[in-house]
Amino acid sequence: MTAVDAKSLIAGDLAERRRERLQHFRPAWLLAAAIPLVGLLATGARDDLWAQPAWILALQAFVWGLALFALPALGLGLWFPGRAARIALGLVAAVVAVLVAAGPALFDMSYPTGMEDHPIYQIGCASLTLAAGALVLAICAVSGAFVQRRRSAGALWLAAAIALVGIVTTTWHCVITGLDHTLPSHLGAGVLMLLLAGLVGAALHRRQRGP
Amino acid sequence: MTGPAGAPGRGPSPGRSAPPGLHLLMEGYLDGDARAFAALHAALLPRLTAFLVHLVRDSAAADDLVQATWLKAHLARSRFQVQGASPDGAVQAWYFTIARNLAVDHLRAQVRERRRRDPGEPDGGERDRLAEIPSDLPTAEELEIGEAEAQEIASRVRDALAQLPAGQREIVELHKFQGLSMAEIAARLRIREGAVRVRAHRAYKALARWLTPSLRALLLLLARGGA
Repeated sequence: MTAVDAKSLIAGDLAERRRERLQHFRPAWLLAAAIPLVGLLATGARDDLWAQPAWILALQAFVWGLALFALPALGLGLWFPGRAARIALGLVAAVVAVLVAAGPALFDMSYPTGMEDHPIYQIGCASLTLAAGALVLAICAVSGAFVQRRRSAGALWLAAAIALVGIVTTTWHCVITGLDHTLPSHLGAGVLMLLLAGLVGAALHRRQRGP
Repeated sequence: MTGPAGAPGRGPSPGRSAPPGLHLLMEGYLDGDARAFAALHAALLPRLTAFLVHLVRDSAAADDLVQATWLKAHLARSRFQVQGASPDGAVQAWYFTIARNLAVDHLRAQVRERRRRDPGEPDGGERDRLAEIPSDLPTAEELEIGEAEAQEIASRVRDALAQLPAGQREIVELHKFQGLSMAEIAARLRIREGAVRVRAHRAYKALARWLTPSLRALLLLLARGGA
């Protein structure tokens, strides 16, 4: 009897909210995507960027995709894969982060290191990882990205994206490939960024949405 | 009538176990997942329909109330909290509480309407049905549904209200924000109730141009039901 179809009206409302959310975060996303680009232009990309093995280049491209598209879409509530897909995505992100940060030296200790390691390079790479991540973290905080999901666990997807941006930016900058250098200053700094971004995101979520 | 749930003669009741996974669907829906909402709708629609048909004994009215239940719950969804030991039961209780309140408003409106038309006539059984309405659900106040719905409507309507003529705006404010009935508004403004209804009709029609389709539909259903 009724001409009102609540189901389609609500579905339309949810689609409209999603469009609004996409529109709201587009400038922030463009800015966040520009940060590693500007960072690489300012500090310079590694000389052997295109000389790396194809598989590591493919993995790095995959990590860029995760960091700039898949994980932010999850964290912002724009994409809703099932539980199994979310678990798989989380595991894949962790594994590729280690692979990309450590590079070919993980499987081939004789892989050319390009340059001898030095503590100053470690500090430089860790700083670049943290700086790139911190800038993206600031954009996420200012734009309200951390409070889009109802549960604070949603903030972890964004924290993972932020950490990956830091890791892969440094990986594309740094020519040193020895594990003594990459594990602490690339991967270690990335993990630190993940923890920092996770804590900031969870705190912002708690403050704005309550426990 | 005995619905698909509950004790015989009591009709469908939220006391029965909720379908498993409801709270996960609700979480997804609250985050904006349209597929989760569609699944939640499919899981709860038969129960809600049976519950409301049992309460109001009128399938056409129950159909309107089902639609209004979804829309009201949608407007108030930011206030949903898992309460009690069963998260799935909390989701079911949330929808059934809204449905029950709408049924109560509908039956009371029917009683008022009948009294207005035929003051000497006995009621059509609405009082009996009101007495049968289950009280084992949390109240709307406990779930903060009424407050959330009012806040959502108020925030969306306030902007549109500013564009209405003063006479229409006053009536909408008294009706929606202060909760007065049409008769009470007529008494306060010292004009006939019919005139109040005409102005309210014009005001809601004008407001409809600025409101979202879901809120528009809810206002239409509430106006139709006399709630």
